[in-house]
Amino acid sequence: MSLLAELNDLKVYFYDQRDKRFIRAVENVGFSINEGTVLGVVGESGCGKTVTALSMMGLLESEPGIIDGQFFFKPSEEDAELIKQSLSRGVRKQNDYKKDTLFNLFFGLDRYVSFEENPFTIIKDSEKWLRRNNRIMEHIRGKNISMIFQNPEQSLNPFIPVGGQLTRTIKRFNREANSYEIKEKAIKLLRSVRLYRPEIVMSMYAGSLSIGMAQRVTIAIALCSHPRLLIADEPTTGLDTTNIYKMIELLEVLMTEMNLTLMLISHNIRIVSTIASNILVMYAGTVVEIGSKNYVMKTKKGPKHPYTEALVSSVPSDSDIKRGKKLRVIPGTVPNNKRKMDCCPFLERCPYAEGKIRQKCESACPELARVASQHYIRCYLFYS
Amino acid sequence: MDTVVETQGLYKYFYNKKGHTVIKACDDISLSIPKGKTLGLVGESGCGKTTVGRILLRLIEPDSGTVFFNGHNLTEMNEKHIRPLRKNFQMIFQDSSSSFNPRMRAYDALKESVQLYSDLRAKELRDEIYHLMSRVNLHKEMLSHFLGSLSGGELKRLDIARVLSIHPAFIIADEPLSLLDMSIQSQIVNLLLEVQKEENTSLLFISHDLRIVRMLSHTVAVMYRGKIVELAPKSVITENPLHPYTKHLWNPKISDFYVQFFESGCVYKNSCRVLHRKGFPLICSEKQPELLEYEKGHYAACHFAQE
Ligand SMILES: Nc1ncnc2c1ncn2[C@@H]1O[C@H](COP(=O)(O)OP(=O)(O)OP(=O)(O)O)[C@@H](O)[C@H]1O
Ligand SMILES: Nc1ncnc2c1ncn2[C@@H]1O[C@H](COP(=O)(O)OP(=O)(O)OP(=O)(O)O)[C@@H](O)[C@H]1O
Ligand code: SF4
Ligand SMILES: [Mg+2]
Ligand SMILES: [Mg+2]
Repeated sequence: MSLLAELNDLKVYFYDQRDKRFIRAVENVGFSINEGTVLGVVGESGCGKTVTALSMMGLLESEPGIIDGQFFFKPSEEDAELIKQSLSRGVRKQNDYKKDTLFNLFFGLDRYVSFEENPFTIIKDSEKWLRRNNRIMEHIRGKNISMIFQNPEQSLNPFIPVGGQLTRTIKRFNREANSYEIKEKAIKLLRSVRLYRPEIVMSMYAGSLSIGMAQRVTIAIALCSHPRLLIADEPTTGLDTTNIYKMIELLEVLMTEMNLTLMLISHNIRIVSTIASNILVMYAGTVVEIGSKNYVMKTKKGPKHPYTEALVSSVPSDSDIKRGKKLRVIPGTVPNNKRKMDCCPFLERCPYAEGKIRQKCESACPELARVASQHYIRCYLFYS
Repeated sequence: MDTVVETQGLYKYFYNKKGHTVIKACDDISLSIPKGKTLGLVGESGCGKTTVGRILLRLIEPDSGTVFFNGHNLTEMNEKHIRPLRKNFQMIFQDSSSSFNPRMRAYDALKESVQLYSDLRAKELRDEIYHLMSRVNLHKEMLSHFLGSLSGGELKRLDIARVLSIHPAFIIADEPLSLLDMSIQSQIVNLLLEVQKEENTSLLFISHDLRIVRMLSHTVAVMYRGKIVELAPKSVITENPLHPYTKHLWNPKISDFYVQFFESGCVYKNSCRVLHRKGFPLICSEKQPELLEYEKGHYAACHFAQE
């Protein structure tokens, strides 16, 4: 299996002008995705999942704020050529390539944006960087990386019927197809995302779709560009349980058929674990655990971040719900993301932070430590 | 028991531009919600749940049918007379992002709704807003953020706070949990139960997940393509579901099949396993079964409900 994408040390800070303080949205986030695999991303609401995805797409609203890190991606061969050309116009740096096929899509970021952590100062020209970056991202978005947005209205045009939007995108990526084939394909896609009476949906406008329907239309649109990497941000929230499993099945089929790699973001670790090969657990803007599904989901034995443990056990089983068992709550709240992280972010809610270990937890934010091959945990309990 | 909200025979059809096809979003919906109780409304995506909610609030007009709120016939009143009543019914919107102005700050959004129906002084107002934020488990620091910059789940919780700040007698919660992770879901469920107990609020709880609906409803209505196909008290629908669709919802992993039939007959016939097992009885494809009462308070719309 070959590496498709690798994100290193992503940092995203927003600036709150009223408070004159930074909001730490994402810090120290990194992972790698191999071709043909599924990376599941889970974590509490507000932990930075969407921000991570948007930065990979180059769609983050820049001002005011900071973005920093490296994002290596392997585009299709023809696009690689195009990107190489536009990169060569700028100053080419050795560390913007990896293995000659992966490009750093955050190319040149360090030269335009830099900042000191203590005290916070930024020197930047992110406008200029964004303009450059956009030129590269034009080759990337759609064909190479495509994203299903959490909020479906964001990607649907309210003034063009669903059919029009679909056929237009299909046309862009299949120049040879005739209009009959395109229409057939559009209907087939709508049916495959389990929309009832797709012929009628084709003629409807975004405003007259229910939320769940709109969500599935955006999935269909994202799929018709045949991306190499599909980032799906909460694609199943609007669906009922039957359709969720159908949708997961569909994604599985598409992965083999279209050679798709998937980054699946969801708050529901149970859904993620049915399909993901690797799971990334985020908490308060940072990665607290990453590893193969079997390690991360294993409930009893084996090392596990206390947050992951709480997350897994807070999902009630079907029989618990049927018996009307009360739901488990993880007590406490996430730390304020305007304060500097000078202790373990999970400290306040962690049942294990006691005695001697607690002193460590309070002293500094732990590093991500390796506990097994390809299994990393950010917790002092697992320091060797 | 006093009934707070009641609908009788609501119909809402949407017509395609050319008028060839109709979408039956509500097809003869009759519901009633007693004071201090919760009615859960479940059904697959696109079956008309939000449409029912919006008709109840009179955000859209039904084709026919009536809505009663505390004895007032809302469908006969005009907006001027409804406005003073609006305080009493509020909706937690499914798409919170489109119901807020993204350029507004969280504090101002909550302030606006708190002041809508009460005149608190500056300090009390601030305390009330802080209290609301802590109830939905958001940092009060977040009050200075623009609504457009909040994450999906944060905005949803802000919307819940907005609705709670008005202290309505009736709340429509349209998929309030769909963007939240399990732990926060539990907190919101507990919060809604708490508010219901304190203020004797009536709730219409809309969700596509029967398992979640079950946690806080007293009665559950199951909807399929615009029709109510089963209605029963919570314990009954858990232990003794009658309609094939309800049974399927309890056991969703079994993959369902899909046969294309004509539009006539039972709404569920295209995916119904009972129909399949019975060897496609004619009656199912000819006649929509009526919603009949099989035992006290337990209604189902299926020709073979008792088998
Ligand atoms: N433009 C912005 N300005 C300020 N803060 C922001 C901005 N965008 C995001 N944030 C903050 O960054 C944090 C991470 O947001 P993000 O949308 O990534 O969360 P998420 O993990 O996707 O959560 P959810 O599951 O609720 O969608 C949140 O606390 C959010 O309020
Ligand atoms: N303004 C409209 N014009 C045409 N059709 C509409 C309009 N509003 C809703 N519909 C249709 O009515 C049906 C019911 O929509 P509704 O939003 O009530 O579904 P829902 O049960 O809330 O679904 P979801 O779980 O996806 O939110 C859908 O098929 C939808 O396409
Ligand atoms: S009436 Fe027939 S098709 Fe409809 S649910 Fe019952 S058995 Fe199935
Ligand atoms: Mg998000
Ligand atoms: Mg809806």
